Parts: sequence; structure tokens; C-alpha cells
Amino acid sequence: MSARLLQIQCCFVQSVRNYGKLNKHLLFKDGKRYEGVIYYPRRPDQEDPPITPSKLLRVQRIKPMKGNTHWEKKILIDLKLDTNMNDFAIVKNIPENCERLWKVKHLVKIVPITFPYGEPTENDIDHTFLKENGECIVTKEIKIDDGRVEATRKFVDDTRKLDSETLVKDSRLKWLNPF
Amino acid sequence: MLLRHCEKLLKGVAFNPLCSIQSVGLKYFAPPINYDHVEPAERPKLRMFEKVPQYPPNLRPPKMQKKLRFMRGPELVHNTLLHKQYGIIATGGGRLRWGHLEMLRLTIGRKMDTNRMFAIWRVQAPWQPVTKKGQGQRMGGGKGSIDHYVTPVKAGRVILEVGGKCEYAEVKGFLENVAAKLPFKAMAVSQEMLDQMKAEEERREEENINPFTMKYVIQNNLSGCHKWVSPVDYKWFGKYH
Repeated sequence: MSARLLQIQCCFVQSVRNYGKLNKHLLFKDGKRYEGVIYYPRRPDQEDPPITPSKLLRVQRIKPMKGNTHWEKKILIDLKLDTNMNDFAIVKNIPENCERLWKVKHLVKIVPITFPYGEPTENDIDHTFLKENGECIVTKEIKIDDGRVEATRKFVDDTRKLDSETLVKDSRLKWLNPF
Repeated sequence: MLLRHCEKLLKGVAFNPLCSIQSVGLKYFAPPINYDHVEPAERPKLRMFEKVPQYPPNLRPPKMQKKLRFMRGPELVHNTLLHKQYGIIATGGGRLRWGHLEMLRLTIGRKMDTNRMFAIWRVQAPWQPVTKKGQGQRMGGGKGSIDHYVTPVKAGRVILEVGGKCEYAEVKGFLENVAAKLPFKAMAVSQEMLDQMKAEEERREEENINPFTMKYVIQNNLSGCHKWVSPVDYKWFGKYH
């Protein structure tokens, strides 16, 4: 009898009144910390393949700003990605930025920037182009390629080449009188 | 079978004196199952529970909130069979009323052979008060009076055990019958079935090559799932809703 009463009292003592999201960092114990980013691996002995990290990242927003939490919106505003979906930001691949990007990883597309033609210098700013796949193209020398000029001239001045007017006329006549 | 063979043999002898070929072959009868390890219980039948818990006379029966956490989540303590034989386990959470316990007690008491078998409870008598307001009453005016008492049960909890000198096939019929009548999902199990279920669960966990398990997705907030998952999912990752 007394045991049962005690049990009921214990139930009252244990009671938790709030019902809400639990603190993730207190609840999940199997996280690995990588300088501000806490990653919870699929299996405890999981090992990722080795990579050579890029120096810069191209970040573009792919989800609307609306409906996100205030901390996610703040990170996007700080990266100046809050206005246009076509805008992109170039961020340094440093722990501080990785920590911020990890929090908005479901809202942005992150592409590492590579330099297939070498890294640009101060003089190359006018002829550097960043592609969407992260390739930063640097044209080191601006000069006219004589071979290409010659090829264009040859094509335009070719007397055996049919001009478009003749082609259209010929095609129409064939259409009107096929047999 | 044996009788029929003997009959045939006798007939053959009686009507055909030339026929002397034996029609009975060598038989192997398996030895009976050894039940020496089975300990008999003090009383074979389930005891009757009190409908209302007895409080001391100076104590007013306390009212209680709904306390959904008593029936949510996995049962961590009473999830194994003490006698290692047969029983009924809950596969979902819920509440047992006194009527359900009576149904179990009467049906099992009627169907089982009390000379060989026994049954024991693994749940308490109804202890959690449930309040109700009378029919046609307007809202307000405080909490209603206690209507009945219930026993909350979590998923995986053993509700009762049946044992003795019997096989699972003997008890399966009536255990499944009563398990289907309970107010939550429940199933009749034997110890072998429980071991198998546990091993199967471990195997599935181990051989799962899908990198995106519910646990991985929720822990790492993939696809921003923290916006919509419930607090319960944080704890049990999609199980035990």
C-alpha cells in the first residue's frame, strides 16, 4: 500500500510541465566537433574520403527567404543573399564561415571555386570570369588569334557557299512542287 | 495408425494364410518435451484487480493530468518474459481499463488448463485517475470528478505471461484472441519469437546501407527538418508517435 502511494508521489515529483523542442546538444551525445560545426555521423566509425579543400566557396541561395527562422535569415542577410536568387556570394573557406554555412545548408548551393588556368592576380581583374560550376577562368593574355580570324574570313568569302536567300527560295520551291 | 496396421495384419493372417509379409515398418517417436526447468507458480490463475485503488481514509483521491508520456515511447524495464515462455506484449502505447483486465483474466482462466499451465500479471492494477464531466454539462466550473482508473502501457511492455508444461501452439489461439481485443496494438509472443525479433531488428540496423536514416537526418538538420519534426522525433527518430 505504502509502496504504491510512494510510486504515485514519485510520478508527481518527476512531472515535466513543458512540451517542446529539446536541447539538441544535451540530448545527442554522439556528435563530433569540427571547430564550431557539430556533425553527427551515420555510424560511429564513419570515415569520409580525403579531400583537398578549396580556398573559396561560391554560395547561392536556392530557397525563398520567407518562412525561415530569424537566425537563418540573419546569416543570409549577412552574406547579402537576401534579395535576388541569382546573386551569389564568394566566401572564404574558414571555420567561422563554415559554421555559418552549416546552419543554412538547406537554403544554399555551395560550390568550391577551382582555378584551372591559375589564380588571378591584380592585373587580371578585367579578364576573369567565374562560371556556375565554380571554375574561375583567367585569360592571362588578351590578343587576337590569327587562325580564327582567317577561318572566319574563309567561311564568309566562300563563293561555293549558298547564301541564305537562295537556300530559302530553293526549299520553298521544293515544298511547293515536291515531285 | 498402429491399430490400423495391426488390423490389416490380422486380416491378412485370417483370410490369406499364405501372406506373411509384415506391413508395419520401423517407427520413430520423438521423446516428449522435457519440462523439468519449468517452475510451477503459486496460483495458476490471474488474480482479480481492484477497480479503484484504496486510499487511506484521510486522503482525498488525487486527480491527475493526462500525462501522455506514461504511454509514449519504448518500455525499457518490463520488456522481457520472466518465465521465458509465452505472453502478450503491447506493440503500441495505450491505457488499460479495469474491463480490459477482467476480459483477459476471465478468458485466459477459462481457456487454459490449470493443471498444467499458469498465468501471471505483469501490469499493475489501474492507478491513474481519469476525470470526466457529466453529460450535457456546460464547460467551466473546474475539473470534473474521477470517472475511472487506468493502467498506462508503453510499446514493448509485457502485459501478462503464461507458462507451465505447455507448448506455444496450445496457448497461441487464446492469447492472440485476447490480444486483438486490447485497446492498443498487442501480440502474443513466445521467448523464441522475442529473441528472433530482437535479432532481426539488429540485423536490419547493421545491414542498412541507406546513408540517410531518420536519426542521421534529424540529428544533422538535413533539409531544415528541425522546422517540422516534433519533439517526440528528437527522442525516438520517427518511432513511437
